Amino acid sequence: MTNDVRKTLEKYELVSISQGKAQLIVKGKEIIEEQQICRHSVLELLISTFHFISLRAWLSQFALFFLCIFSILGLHKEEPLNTIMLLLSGILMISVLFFMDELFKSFTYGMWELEETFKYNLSQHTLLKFLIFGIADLAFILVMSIVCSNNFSLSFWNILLFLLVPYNIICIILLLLITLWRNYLHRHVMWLVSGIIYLVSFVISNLFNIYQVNVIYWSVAFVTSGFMLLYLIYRQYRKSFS
Amino acid sequence: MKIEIYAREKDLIDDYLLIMRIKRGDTDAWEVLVDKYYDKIYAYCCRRFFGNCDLAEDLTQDIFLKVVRAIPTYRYKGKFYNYLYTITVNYCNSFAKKKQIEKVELSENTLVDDTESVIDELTKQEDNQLIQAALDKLPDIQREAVILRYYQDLKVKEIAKVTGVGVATAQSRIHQGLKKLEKYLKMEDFDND
Repeated sequence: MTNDVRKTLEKYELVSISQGKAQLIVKGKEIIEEQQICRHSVLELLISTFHFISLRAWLSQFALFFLCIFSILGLHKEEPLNTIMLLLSGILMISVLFFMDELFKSFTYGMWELEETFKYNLSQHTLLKFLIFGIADLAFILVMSIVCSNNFSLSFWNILLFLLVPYNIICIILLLLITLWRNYLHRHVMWLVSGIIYLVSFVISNLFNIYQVNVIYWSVAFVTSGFMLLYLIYRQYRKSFS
Repeated sequence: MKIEIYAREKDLIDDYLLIMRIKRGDTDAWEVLVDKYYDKIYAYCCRRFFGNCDLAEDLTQDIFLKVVRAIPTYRYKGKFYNYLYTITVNYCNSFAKKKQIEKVELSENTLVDDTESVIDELTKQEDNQLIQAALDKLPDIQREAVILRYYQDLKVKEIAKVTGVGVATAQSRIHQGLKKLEKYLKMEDFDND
């Protein structure tokens, strides 16, 4: 019974129209080629981004790093915490500024990075640069904290916290500035804004003695600013890779 | 039997390599993949939608374009053709839900061999129409199962996987479908000789 039905069904054969197949092949090929252009590997992008960071940027960072180490070693052991932290925060701010200057360069000097690669766009490169600089600065902060804690018999975690909070804040402000006014922003404005931030923090630290405040408040400030910074990076990431 | 298993395994490896090549941007691999599966998917769509060849062609194009867009994120978990048929079945079902499909007469280009005599051609066309008419009378789920089993040569287990039901349900749908087909074909007085 079933075999008869099967045999009958087998009689019904169909062939497709080759024109449709040919069109589909062409369309599919176009899509594959588009996908290849848009395909991005983060590692490839990272390696490519390193080529676009000038040697001067790294040299200035090294210079700052050694300046910082010599300054710490040159200070008296009984130096007030306020002075030490203001000095370190100041150096850190200059380091961030140098990096931001390098980031900002892409907007001021045109789109050569994009033209150079054709594969990744400028915002992807900028984001990766930001991450590279961020990691470099975190290493910088870590070394500063270790040297300081050894030299001044201070708690390593406290110094780390005292440096990370202003670091997060300045990153948030500069990132917002770049995001909002990247087409109008002049590099001198960034230096001016950073100068104002430093001045304000100098006044605040002298008026309220912020480094004597309970560590819990610093921790809260660190978590809040950290989340804000991560959110900004995530938003930029979504925009760059969507 | 051994030869069949060997052929199936070779097919699996071939598909795997094709997908890998497409992922790397090899457009020739895409051409091979389309050549390999286009006719099967087209035939499925055509039989599924009452022999409507134009519609089947549009659907086949849509299904393959959907596949090519999904290939970069495709993870090779089992047979590629199962994945392809899952997309096909789902796409056809959602299309059927959205639109009321009209039954159409089979066009001449559905005939297999152009060199056959005119009488043979006409007889074949008539047979095709009778079978398609019998298939059309089946409920969607049974028609889907019968086509996958007897025209696409899928195993019951694979049909169950593709249609998202249990093996017993798939088996029952095929069985019920065949029984009904037998009845309809008898009613049409189909000459099986």
